[in-house]
Amino acid sequence: MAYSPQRTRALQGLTVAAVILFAIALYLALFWVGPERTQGEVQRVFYVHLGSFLGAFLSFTATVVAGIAYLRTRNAKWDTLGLASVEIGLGLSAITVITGMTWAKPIWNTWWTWDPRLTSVAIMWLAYAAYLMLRSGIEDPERQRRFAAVYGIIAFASVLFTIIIVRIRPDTIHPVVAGPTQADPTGSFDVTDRIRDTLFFNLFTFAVITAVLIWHRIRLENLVQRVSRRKMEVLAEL
Amino acid sequence: MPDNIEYMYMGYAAMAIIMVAMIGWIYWRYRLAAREEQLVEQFEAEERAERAAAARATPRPAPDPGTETPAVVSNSPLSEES
Repeated sequence: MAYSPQRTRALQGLTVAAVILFAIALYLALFWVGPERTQGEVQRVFYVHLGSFLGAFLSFTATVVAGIAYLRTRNAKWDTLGLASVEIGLGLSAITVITGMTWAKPIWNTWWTWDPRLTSVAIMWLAYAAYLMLRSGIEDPERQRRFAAVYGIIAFASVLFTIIIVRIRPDTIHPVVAGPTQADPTGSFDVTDRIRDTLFFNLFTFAVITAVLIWHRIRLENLVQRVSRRKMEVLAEL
Repeated sequence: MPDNIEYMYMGYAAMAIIMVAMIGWIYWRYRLAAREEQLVEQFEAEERAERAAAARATPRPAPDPGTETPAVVSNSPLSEES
């Protein structure tokens, strides 16, 4: 598949923009915004923690859109988007989990606890890791794509569950950034103007990074499939 | 204010490692696939060259006078012979 030069230039431009945005986001989070009064320096992890979760959420949402589109059209390009989104979403949600753990140690005095939010995010991560493993276990391409589309749609329930759980369970200690909660979380802090601006900039940056990574991953998948097709053609000629 | 800067460093280091691993993984697989494609192209070119050489090396059989293809006679009203 040959890409149009405009598309390639757009991807290159977006990649450069993502790098610049990321550098600015790091500057804002590490130098521009001051340390939070009650939590200290570790609160700066919050910008990456939330930003990466947004990226994972967008990726898994893209998987649902791709799954629905594939089931409607049976066009393999949607399956490629679904696969790329899951891989990127898994990486980003790994960042969410690990930055959360480094924050939890000084604030909650433990790396990990089986809090409803932490448990649900672990289930979410495992559900999408299983997507990749189960997918690779299916030989027939059409069946593989159909399975991946259906699984990608169903697995999104774990994402929604992760978002909703802190708002409905009264026994969670995980702080809620936006919206009401019935719980009494440990580790909440007041959002100043600078914290809010830094957070929004980081959220935007992670959204752009997510799009760029998915786009590059799609190109990789297209190349891998093209090479595989050509190898089959060569073998058939022998 | 609590002194916990080492945990902040740890969090950012973990993020950097995962990001680099993701980008490196994509880049490495891309390089690998591109190299594989190049090898397939090279193999195809060699195959074509070999087939062309084999075709040139095979002598063309001399036409047998008894089995010569008869000349085609056109019955078309537009034919010059008609």
